[in-house]
Amino acid sequence: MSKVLSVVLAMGVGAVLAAPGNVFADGKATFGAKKCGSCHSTDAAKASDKAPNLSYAGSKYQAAWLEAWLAKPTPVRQVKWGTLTKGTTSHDALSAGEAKEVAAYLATLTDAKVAKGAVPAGEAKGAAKVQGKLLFEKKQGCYGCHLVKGSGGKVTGGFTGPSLAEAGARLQADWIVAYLKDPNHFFPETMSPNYSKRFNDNEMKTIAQYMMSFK
Amino acid sequence: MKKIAVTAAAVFAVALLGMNIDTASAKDAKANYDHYCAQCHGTSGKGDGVNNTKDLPVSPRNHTDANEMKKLTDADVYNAIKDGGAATSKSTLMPPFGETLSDAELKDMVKHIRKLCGC
Repeated sequence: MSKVLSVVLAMGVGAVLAAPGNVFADGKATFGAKKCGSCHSTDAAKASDKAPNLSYAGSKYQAAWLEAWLAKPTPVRQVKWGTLTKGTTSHDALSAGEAKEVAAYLATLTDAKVAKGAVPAGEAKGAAKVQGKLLFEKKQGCYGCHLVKGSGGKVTGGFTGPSLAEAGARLQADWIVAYLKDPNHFFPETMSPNYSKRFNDNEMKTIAQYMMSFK
Repeated sequence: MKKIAVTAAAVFAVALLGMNIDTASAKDAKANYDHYCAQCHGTSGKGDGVNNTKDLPVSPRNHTDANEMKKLTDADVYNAIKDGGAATSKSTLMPPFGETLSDAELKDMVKHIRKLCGC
């Protein structure tokens, strides 16, 4: 009896996973079929020397950005991954349908270290924006390694870190705070210094909100 | 006899483990320089790293320039690496590495930079 029940249950689960409306299941299959895993690791404990670790992609990236980017990828970094060589790494584009599926799958890959709702939604305005700018540009010179959009929309800054020129459309503010607190948890091989004791909690939240204005 | 062999093997294993921990916690200064400093200062230390563009308000220091580098004491260099440019009244474009490198690694880095300038 229990065997029959198991089989029925298994068929039920299979049916749900295979249902056309389940973009998460389709996305995982597409991720495999497109061999995304040959460059990207989805295992938090296993870094790849070819591309960003995606084990926390659902906590790091904004879902709408992921879907749009996968359909029309443009380089986020201006050096080849893991090197100091100027240049970009090309990335295959997915069809609109595949991009939607894979983005839905990646959205399920979250990290418990990212405290949901730590940073109020929206971008910094008024005095908070001024304070964010001071922290980002003066207290620390983040643009030494990251591209940012200056006055008149001119993009300037360093190349070795990911471009932050459009970080407000790409990153989740809660992730920025979690990353500043414990960068090694997310990216042990980073070339960026650790700022965990250089900004306090409120400053990290202000920076994250300020960065949400980068679009 | 067998017990002695097991004990000896255990001691040897612990010793090996200890060695691994040492090498993992303290990367040599050249490796750290290439990973962290070369982004701006260049692998040869001439201040010509990939992040050095004409748009930067302050250029990365040329570590091979003995005339400039000898104006800084070892404590100045140590403090600048540990706490960033602000610690020596310089630009905050030089970030702090005090939470990234251990104290031993910071001290080794000062020696490495002295080698680059020969001063």
